[in-house]
Amino acid sequence: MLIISVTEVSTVSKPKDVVQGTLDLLILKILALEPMHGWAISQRLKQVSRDVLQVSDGSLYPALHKLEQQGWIKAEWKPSENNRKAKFYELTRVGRKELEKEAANWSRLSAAITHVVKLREA
Amino acid sequence: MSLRLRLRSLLRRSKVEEELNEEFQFHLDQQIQQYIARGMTREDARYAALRAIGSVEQRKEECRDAHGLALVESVVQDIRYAIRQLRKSPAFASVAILTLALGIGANTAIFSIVDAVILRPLTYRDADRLFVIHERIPQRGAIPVSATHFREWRKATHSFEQMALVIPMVRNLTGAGEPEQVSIGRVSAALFPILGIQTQLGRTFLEEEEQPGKPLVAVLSNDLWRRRFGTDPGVVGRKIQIDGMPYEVVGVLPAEFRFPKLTHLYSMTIDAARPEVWTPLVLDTGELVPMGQFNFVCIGRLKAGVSVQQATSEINAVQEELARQSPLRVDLGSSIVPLQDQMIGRSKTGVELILSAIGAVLLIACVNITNLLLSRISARRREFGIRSAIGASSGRIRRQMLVESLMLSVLGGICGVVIANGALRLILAAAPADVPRLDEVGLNTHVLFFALIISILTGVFIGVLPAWRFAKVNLQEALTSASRSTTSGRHSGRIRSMLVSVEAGLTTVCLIAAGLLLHSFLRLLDVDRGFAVDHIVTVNANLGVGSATRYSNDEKKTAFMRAVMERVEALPGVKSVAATDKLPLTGEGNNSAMAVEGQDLPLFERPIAAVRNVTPNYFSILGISLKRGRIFTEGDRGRNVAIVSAALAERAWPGLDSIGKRFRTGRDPSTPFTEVIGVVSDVRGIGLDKDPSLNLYGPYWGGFFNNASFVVQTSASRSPFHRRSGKQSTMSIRMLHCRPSEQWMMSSRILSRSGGSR
Repeated sequence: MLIISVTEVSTVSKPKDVVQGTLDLLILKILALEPMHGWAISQRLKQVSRDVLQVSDGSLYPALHKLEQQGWIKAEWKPSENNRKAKFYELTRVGRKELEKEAANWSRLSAAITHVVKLREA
Repeated sequence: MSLRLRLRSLLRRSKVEEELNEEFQFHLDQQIQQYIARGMTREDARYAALRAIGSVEQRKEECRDAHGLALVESVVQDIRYAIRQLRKSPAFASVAILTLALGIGANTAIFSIVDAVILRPLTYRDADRLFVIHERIPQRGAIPVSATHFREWRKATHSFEQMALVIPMVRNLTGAGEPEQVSIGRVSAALFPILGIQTQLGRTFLEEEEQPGKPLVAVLSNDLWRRRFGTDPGVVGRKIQIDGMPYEVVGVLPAEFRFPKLTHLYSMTIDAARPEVWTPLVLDTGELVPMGQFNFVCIGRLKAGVSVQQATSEINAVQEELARQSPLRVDLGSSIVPLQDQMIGRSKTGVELILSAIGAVLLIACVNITNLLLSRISARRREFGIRSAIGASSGRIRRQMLVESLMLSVLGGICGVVIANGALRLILAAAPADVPRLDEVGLNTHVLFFALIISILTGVFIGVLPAWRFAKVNLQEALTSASRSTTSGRHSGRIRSMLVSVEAGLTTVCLIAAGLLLHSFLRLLDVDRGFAVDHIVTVNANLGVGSATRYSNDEKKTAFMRAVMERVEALPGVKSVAATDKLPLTGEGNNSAMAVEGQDLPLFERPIAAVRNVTPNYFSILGISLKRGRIFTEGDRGRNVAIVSAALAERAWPGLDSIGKRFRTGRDPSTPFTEVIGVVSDVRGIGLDKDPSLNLYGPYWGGFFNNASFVVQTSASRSPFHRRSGKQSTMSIRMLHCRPSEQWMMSSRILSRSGGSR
């Protein structure tokens, strides 16, 4: 199992592309299910990664804004569960394509790395 | 998408900030609630939530970065830096800016002409449904319209909402100020509604004012109203004198109404200006000849949804019927041309040629500046090296270079607009008067927008190659090498030589376009006009039909003409004076079909002669030589004699000696025959690019000198006349319109360009 640690330090300075890209992938994957606001995304991240991925709540928002800027996700202000207005993010068509691409990349990459790791063990 | 968001964060900053705050607040509140639910106190929960998210302000800043605001800031930085760079090398900057200013300025000036002349739609209501209708006969192509035919069209066709006739005249306007010749448009009452024009003051014409015997009324153009009546709103209801007849002013047209110069509405070369006074078209019996008097411009507004083809076939059906009823064997047709095409058609090629030449000039300027920028790269390698060493990405440096070139081009564009403004005035002063809609040319928002766009394109164009080239600069080498300017290397040398060849190519394009323009101009200057223009001044005088009391018959007119000529001849510097009713190179007019004795040709097969009534010395003064026979003398009074041009002699009596031959003009068989007593050399009567006209010269005592042109041979190069001479003269010439021969030639160059029958 691979452990990704998106620490605070690494996101304050310019984040490494791989790490940032990984966070993007996670966000896209989560949003692919349904539109969500930032808080819900952060909760879902913790939940689905079983707390292995420690994404700081703070670094989530710049990532969301960047994805919005790129046009992969779009935002809309809607009432949340407790009837307060919240900014809901949702995947765009471009974003959906991008998700497929990134996911495929990721599978290839992780498969390759797993292979390498196993080789060394043998 | 991203650009929209970026703009939004730039322009609606407070809104974006507010949303940012709200988003973070929402997150914090949710977190606090979660902590409280886990058993924390409200206070502890708040602190814990803040800790969890880290520094909120810093997070917001990162979000703002993501919005691309940082880009805007760094561009501002780039601009500042670019200005500093340009100030550091003022020689380079000023050369570059000036070069671009000339290129952009020239293009802006020409574009403003193209825009006004070709691109901008006519300012009439639904201008795309306005058409000019010509008649068409196989012998002559498109010809103007006969009023009788027009009446039939109006009765029998349904394709047009309305149709109107227009015909130009030149008349004397007197009363309220200095007498002057004005261009008058006699028009159907329907014309103004067709164009969708309302008056600024008063009204336009009523249908019944086209009937004979109604009170005489006139509508003034805004220009004339301004010039002559000082925008007096009380002018409506006042009387003006046109050729001595009182016309009541019933309306003034708005300043924005521009009627085309009538020259541009005819299918043939006709010398006619933009009307300044409008009167209702009251047709007299002489103008209502079936199959004759093809004199009018017809403008129609097609009904919505009716195609040109439908309208043409409908009119052609009427034409066929008219031809069937006529004893003349003629194949009568019609052609319908969009109004705008009719107006600009003839000037289009010239304007397009100029545009391509000027466009090539700008490209040459661009290539030159690119070359300069490229050579600066090698000089600035060290600077770029240092910048990249302290952290500037290569993209950032490229952007910097693009900003610099944009800076140059925008500054060039600003200077260019100033240049264009000056250039436009020069161009307009020198432009041939026949280019349609020239008076609509100016630096308006269209043109300024064009200047902006072309400046930006220029900036990108000149900057892209150097910015791309930069990638090839070895920065490490640049930093370590001690010398500031190293050799630019083989690669850059190749690019430069490529640029030079591009430049050579562009220069060729430019030369070809300029050459074509010059060629057609020179060809016209070179053409054998058939008459001399050195030391010749022409003076136009309008005796006026309406001044019936003074010059009631031809005898009195002749006497008057003689008196004027004697007086003019007595002026210092004048050698001799001749008179004609229509000068050469002034377009078509006074045409008459010639029935040759012994031949029975159908009307439209007969030679069409341009009839000119002249004084006997007209030929010698204009250098038109006598080929056979003799010139008429005062002794020929009372006899029907005429002189024909060589071309007409050949056309009417091919291969025969035309002296002594007889013919008659008009259709009345009882008209006595006229005898040919002389043949003279040809002149270009219509325009320089037209074939020599078929001239039929009659003696001046037989003609109607309502519009006389005096041809004055001077010994001085400057005209002894000026505008005032008409007024000072005790003889009441209404207005003398003088022009030196150079100007005459200029305007004839114009006429010659406006050829081409449609």
